[in-house]
Amino acid sequence: MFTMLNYIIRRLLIGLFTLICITFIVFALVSLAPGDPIRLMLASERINPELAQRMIQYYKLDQPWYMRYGAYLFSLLHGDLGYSLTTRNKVSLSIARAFPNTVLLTCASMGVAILIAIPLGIIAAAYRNTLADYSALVAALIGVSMPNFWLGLMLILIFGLRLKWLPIFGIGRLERGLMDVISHLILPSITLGSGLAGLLMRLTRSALLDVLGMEYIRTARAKGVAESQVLIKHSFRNAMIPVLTTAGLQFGSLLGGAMIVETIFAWPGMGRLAIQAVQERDFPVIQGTTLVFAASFIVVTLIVDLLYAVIDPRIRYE
Amino acid sequence: MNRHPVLRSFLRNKLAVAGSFILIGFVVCAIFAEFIAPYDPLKMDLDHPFQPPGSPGHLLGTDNFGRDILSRLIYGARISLSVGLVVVALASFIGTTLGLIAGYIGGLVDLIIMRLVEVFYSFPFLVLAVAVMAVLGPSIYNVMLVLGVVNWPIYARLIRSRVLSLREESFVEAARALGASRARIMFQHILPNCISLSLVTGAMQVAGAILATASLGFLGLGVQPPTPEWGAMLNEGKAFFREAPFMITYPGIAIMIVVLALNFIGDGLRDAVDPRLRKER
Repeated sequence: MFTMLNYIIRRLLIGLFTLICITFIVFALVSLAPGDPIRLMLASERINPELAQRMIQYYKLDQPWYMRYGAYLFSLLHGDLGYSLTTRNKVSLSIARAFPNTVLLTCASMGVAILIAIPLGIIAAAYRNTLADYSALVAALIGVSMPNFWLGLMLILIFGLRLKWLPIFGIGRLERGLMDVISHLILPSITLGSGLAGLLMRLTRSALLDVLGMEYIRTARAKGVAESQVLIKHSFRNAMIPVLTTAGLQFGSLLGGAMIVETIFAWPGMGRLAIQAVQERDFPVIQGTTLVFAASFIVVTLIVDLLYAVIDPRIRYE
Repeated sequence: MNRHPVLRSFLRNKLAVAGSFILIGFVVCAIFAEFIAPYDPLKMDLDHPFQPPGSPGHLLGTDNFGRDILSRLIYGARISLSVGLVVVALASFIGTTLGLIAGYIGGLVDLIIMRLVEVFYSFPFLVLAVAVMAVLGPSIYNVMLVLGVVNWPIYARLIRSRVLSLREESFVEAARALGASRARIMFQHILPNCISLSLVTGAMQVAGAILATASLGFLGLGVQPPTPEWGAMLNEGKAFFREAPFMITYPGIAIMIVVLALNFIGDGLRDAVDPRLRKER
């Protein structure tokens, strides 16, 4: 138990250290950016010189970088991410509004990926080296190889515009019933989840095959346990450990993909916020969204690591 | 044949062989685009925009400026493949070097490099790429630079663990006993034993690099129009996809086929090179 506590504390400290490094990278990224936004605003006469002077003081642009970084960290600790240069809104507020939508989308996509991957993976492993196995393998590779922005556009074209089965735009509202939310979620989550589904399917297959080669499975078969029981009861749970760990660690690729999928489906999440900010060179918003993306990925990775340690007692707490 | 177990194992993998043929096709298109493409990819024909696929003279139709889509796809192969190669070369160069140093020298250097790897890993890859592209501004060279710099940790981690086991081998010890310098041991004795790992990893990463390039192009942050990059073509076609769905259909299929071929090859190479997997057969 003691070593486990040690491991958790160590893991938390590393997570914290990484987070601090990330704040620095995000800060440096914007400080190094060519094109001073205030000078740009002055040039386009969006603000007058007096306001510009006040903004320079507010953003401490007349001070050395370490003072600015210190001030940046200080305001971060107070949950202050600055103000958007275009909408003048608090960045923290925009992110707080967008964040739950991105969580909803990524979780739904994770669900889609797991629902597709695990049954197909089991079939592929059970019927190893048959036509079913090869078709599943090719399907998985297509899933991994398909650019998700293209899949999204194709789904919009087929299910939204031709067949008119599903909405293609924006997020559903709970006031209009649960079906509204779900129907808006279907196309984006399939788009985002398909690549991960391919990856997880291949992993399920190989993990299951690994487990099926073990001694205790041979024992179970020798005892006369039915093959379906061997698969589901004896092998499945052990094979799921690496699959679910990978699923958790792939959360980052889902967050990155969310930027694209949210842009296509006009999903009001963090990804769309980030891309809009990039197009408008709205640096405080870019900083804020990048930071929150990275921080949520760190937290998820931390949770997965800790859960892994709890689930699998064989892990070494090094 | 027996002297090339890797090649033989690779050739036995049907998907890998099919992937190689497809890739060769794309490489030929990329190199000889001038001779294969029926039209100049940038030449506009404003009298004939949105020609559907199969129209006379335009097998895959024309886009909003009347440019021939097939010709643009053929020239696009040149861009995607070369960006993919440069990205992987840059990333594997940085990653292999740092992994070698971290693994062999160890101590504080190792600690710093590996923490750096962890910091890079904790950024969702595309988020970091987008943020950096936003700062640097979109251009084909920045795409290569950013994707190369963002992707190195994969190599560093793999090479480091390989080096950790290699440095205990007797041939390294022998070199050390003969008085070889640290740099000489690292680059003359250990590096050649890591190259195959770097190459296989690189082969598998080209697909990812091409997808990432297309993603940035699609977001308008990558290669800029009118350059016929596949992702940028999708971005341009997006605005017209009700009237001219073929403008986005074909670039997407091109990306998918080349990435699929590269994945087949990568899988085949990995199975052929990894001796553990070979023994199981």
